[in-house]
Amino acid sequence: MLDEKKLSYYIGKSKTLQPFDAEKKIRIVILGSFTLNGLEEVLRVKCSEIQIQCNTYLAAYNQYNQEILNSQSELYKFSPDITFLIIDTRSILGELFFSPYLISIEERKKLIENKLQDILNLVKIFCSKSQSKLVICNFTVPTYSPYGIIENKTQYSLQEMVYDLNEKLRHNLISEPSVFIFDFNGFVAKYGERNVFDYRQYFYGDVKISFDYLPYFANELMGYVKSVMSINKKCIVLDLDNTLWGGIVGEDGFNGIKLGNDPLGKSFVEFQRHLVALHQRGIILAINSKNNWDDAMKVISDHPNMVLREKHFACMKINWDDKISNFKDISQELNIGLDSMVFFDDDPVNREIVRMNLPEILTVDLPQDPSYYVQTLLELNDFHVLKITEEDKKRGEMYLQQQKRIELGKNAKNLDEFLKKLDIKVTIKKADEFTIPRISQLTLKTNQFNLTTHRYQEEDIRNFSKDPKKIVGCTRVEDKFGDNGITGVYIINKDNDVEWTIDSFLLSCRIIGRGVEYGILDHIIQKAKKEGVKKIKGKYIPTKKNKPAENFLPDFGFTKENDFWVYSTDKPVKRQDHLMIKIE
Amino acid sequence: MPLEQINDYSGQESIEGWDSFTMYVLLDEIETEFKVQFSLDEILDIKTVKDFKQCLKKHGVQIND
Repeated sequence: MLDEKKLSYYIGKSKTLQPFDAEKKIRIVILGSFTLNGLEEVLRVKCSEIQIQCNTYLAAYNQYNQEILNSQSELYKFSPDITFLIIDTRSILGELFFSPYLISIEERKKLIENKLQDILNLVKIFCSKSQSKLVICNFTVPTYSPYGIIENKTQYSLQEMVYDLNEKLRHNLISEPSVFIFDFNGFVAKYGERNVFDYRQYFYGDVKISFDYLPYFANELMGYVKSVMSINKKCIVLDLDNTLWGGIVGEDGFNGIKLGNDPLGKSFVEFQRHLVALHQRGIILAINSKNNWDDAMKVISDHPNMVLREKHFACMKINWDDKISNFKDISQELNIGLDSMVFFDDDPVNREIVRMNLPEILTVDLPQDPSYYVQTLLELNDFHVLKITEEDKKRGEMYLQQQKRIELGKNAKNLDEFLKKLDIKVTIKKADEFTIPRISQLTLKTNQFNLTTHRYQEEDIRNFSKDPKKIVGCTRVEDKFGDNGITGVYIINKDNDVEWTIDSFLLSCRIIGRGVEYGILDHIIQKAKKEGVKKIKGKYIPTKKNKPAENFLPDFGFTKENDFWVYSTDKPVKRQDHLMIKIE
Repeated sequence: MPLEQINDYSGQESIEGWDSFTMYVLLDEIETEFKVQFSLDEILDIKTVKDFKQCLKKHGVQIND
């Protein structure tokens, strides 16, 4: 369970942080209506813990209006990646926070409408001046009313005013791609108003999030930081005995394990229900367990109270091999980096072994008492994404299809026969409103088959797609086992009439090795040729992870010319006969 | 800051970075360490290390001067 360190720890630690040359960097601005000293320090330390170099700017006390309205402000000069706007209920309501019923219902409605418009106006101006993501805290609903127990018998009451403001804020910003609302009211409810708000600190220095809870607050904000940096986790790897059910199936037997009908068994069922829900939104599940295959599989397929079944797992390593080599196999089979995995195991020794050998895996400290497993899972802020795409929802299904492909591959005589049998259909299309979020997502998280690893936010892709000097394309790949969705992206710069440069070219690792990349590149070359272009230039920018793309251009027939790989469009291209390519 | 440079008269004047915020963080630590809680009134009067000691004594904590 989440047990935060004290603020003093973070303040001390932040002083010892050395600037380091991290691959990932983030710039954060905090705009607040009250004292938020200390928040910067906590965020910087939390970022350094996950190897992100973080620069922060805390705007002066209650200066958020000036910072947003003035184009020359420090806020815009700082050029943040993410901005937190934290305004509290008291400062919005002023005198009415205490005496809301001094004015009529109509006036109260009007006041809330005005406050809403003020904030929306700030958001609009902010978005027009900055590329930063904006996270706005919603408002705490007061738990006290001078009307006491008849507050809820009152038309447009104090509480209703704040609920209404929160709802309207949400509805007005629901389709703003770069603006997000943090449920601060929910945060206060979760940790308790009496903890989060401390009267002594409030009077001492207008502190409205108490020092003890500032680290918890920062932890919630880190959910946004992690998703902006695309370091969210994609896969949960689970142990079985005492993790998914109580007891040891090899010893207690099928009927002896705790799952469902007693208090302890219920805690495991609920844990599984939450795991299924994560699976349905795109988190991949896998098993890494020391067990007899038959014993474990009997529970997974036949136990009446199992929620997770075989179909939910993209990979099952149930054997007596060591967990470390199982992890490496899972990573290879699923084509997912170890740093995208979260590991749940009840055994502290196993956890320590994994932590020592594979520190890139997030090994969760499960509490001794299984009744707190659920809470531990729900408190992780590592699965957040800024957008859930159709591909995310279908991911579980796609991994099952992938297993069938592997089966087919095992039975095929050679690669050509295998590829022909797959009936691969590639649809190439230009970026549009529907595909822009997915295209951005792919540029942000594709590490392996990625020529240049240029990362682009949705706004960037939207701008590129309108630019006549650029082509932004994406590809959907289907085969006889199913639809992989949009899994490829390319961005071309039209330098001039005779020369184009490949700015980005990437494929999701799911579809590497099927000749699709050659088919797409062929299409780009044919298109260039049609427009009279003589030369296509490309670059491979090496990173720690993109080795799979290293030889792509030379293998296709590009030749080295100074810093670039170059292809003359009059050179013949080897056709990918097994692909059916459709241009939309 | 080395320990031997801190004395009873250390405070806002002599310690760089001692402001109302860091003073409260320090207060928070001291309250947790000695399991006491000062009133707002008492806090506002604390300007130096000596003031902290006096406050602690008032709350029944044994202090070696």
